[in-house]
Amino acid sequence: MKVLQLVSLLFLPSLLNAHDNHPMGKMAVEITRAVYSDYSIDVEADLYLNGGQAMQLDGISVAGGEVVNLPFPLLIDGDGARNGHVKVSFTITFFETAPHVFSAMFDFGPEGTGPVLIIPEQMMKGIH
Amino acid sequence: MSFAVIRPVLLVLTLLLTSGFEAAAQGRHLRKHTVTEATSLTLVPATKMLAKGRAVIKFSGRYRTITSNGIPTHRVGAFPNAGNPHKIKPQSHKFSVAYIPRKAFRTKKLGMDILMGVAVNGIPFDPMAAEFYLGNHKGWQYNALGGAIPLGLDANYAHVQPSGAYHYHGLPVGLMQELGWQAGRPSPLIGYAADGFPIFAMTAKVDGKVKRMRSSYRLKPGNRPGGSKPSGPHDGSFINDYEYVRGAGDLDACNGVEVTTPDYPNGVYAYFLTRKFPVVPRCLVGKIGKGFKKARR
Repeated sequence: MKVLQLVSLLFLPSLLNAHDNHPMGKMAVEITRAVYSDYSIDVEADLYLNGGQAMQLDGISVAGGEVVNLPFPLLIDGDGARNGHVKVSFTITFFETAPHVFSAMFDFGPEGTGPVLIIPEQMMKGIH
Repeated sequence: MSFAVIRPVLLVLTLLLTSGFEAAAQGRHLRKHTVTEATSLTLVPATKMLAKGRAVIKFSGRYRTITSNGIPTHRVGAFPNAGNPHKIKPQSHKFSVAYIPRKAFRTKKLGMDILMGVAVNGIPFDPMAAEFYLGNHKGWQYNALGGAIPLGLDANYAHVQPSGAYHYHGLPVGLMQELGWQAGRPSPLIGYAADGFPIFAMTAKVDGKVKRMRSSYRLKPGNRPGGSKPSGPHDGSFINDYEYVRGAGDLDACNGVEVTTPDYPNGVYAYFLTRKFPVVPRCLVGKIGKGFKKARR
């Protein structure tokens, strides 16, 4: 097993994240860690809600694989004005050898769907 | 008249209303957008495998020639789709670049008339979207990856021109998977720029270590000018929201740098696809080869 990590990202709206010095949108997703094995990738991610109402993650889809260990729907609850923050861990199992670059689609239902580019890599703290 | 009868008509009208991209290169009217905020970039899952993808790279004299039928061997999204009304069709791509490219006196900024390059699978890199604020092609141009305008990109950050030509606007994820790209290794050759210099994706070996190449573009601070131009914060909706900041990353304004690779042991200028803007380079440093001028179709 190989320890991999960090690639992030985001959407809703645009490819912005908390480390960029500009206003965020409603929702951002940051992949903080990934552990790669031949047919699966264990992922840890931070989901940030920047103001507004609660949002619901209805699912995560990945071509050639499926997300397990994460119950949907998942509520990301702000208080209507302040940020919400939820840490999640899940496993993506692949039907064939896991890819080293792929997009996962995060489905927030009526709020929209956004891609998160996942690039498993060796430990490289702080690189985005 | 029943809905079943008018449904095809409505579908055609919808597709026509959403088919503005690449219009400039084809002498058609541009859509007039007023959107100024980036929103979710939605990608169409790449689930379709097309038959008979073919690409051949040959050397002849001083030139390298890439021919292809424009059909990728990796999976693609469903086309037409809600953001892209066109179907992938076989092409007769033929590109020719200098075998030993040289830098020109000046760099050439990509416009709507030139392809940036071609991948080793024969699919063009064409990062610029013919989508402009208020339809003014000399004004603020939307960033195809910014999400403000739905373009029906698939999971390879690619979509289809009215001619049926499939082309990449961003990271060719499916091709990178085919080539065995990994973050911890130097990038395999991804393609050739229109000026003949090689294109790699994100990583290269520098001083014996694998290095992630970072773009030197950053979002401009503050707000857009407003008035006849878009307002709101520089959020990446437009390519004009970004500026090159020398030294902010590893790459020059054309997203390139001198590197040494197994294919180029004596060093070569190379372009890099980056994870952040511009992702695909927006200017070229050398003389443009043949086949990269976009035809009016």
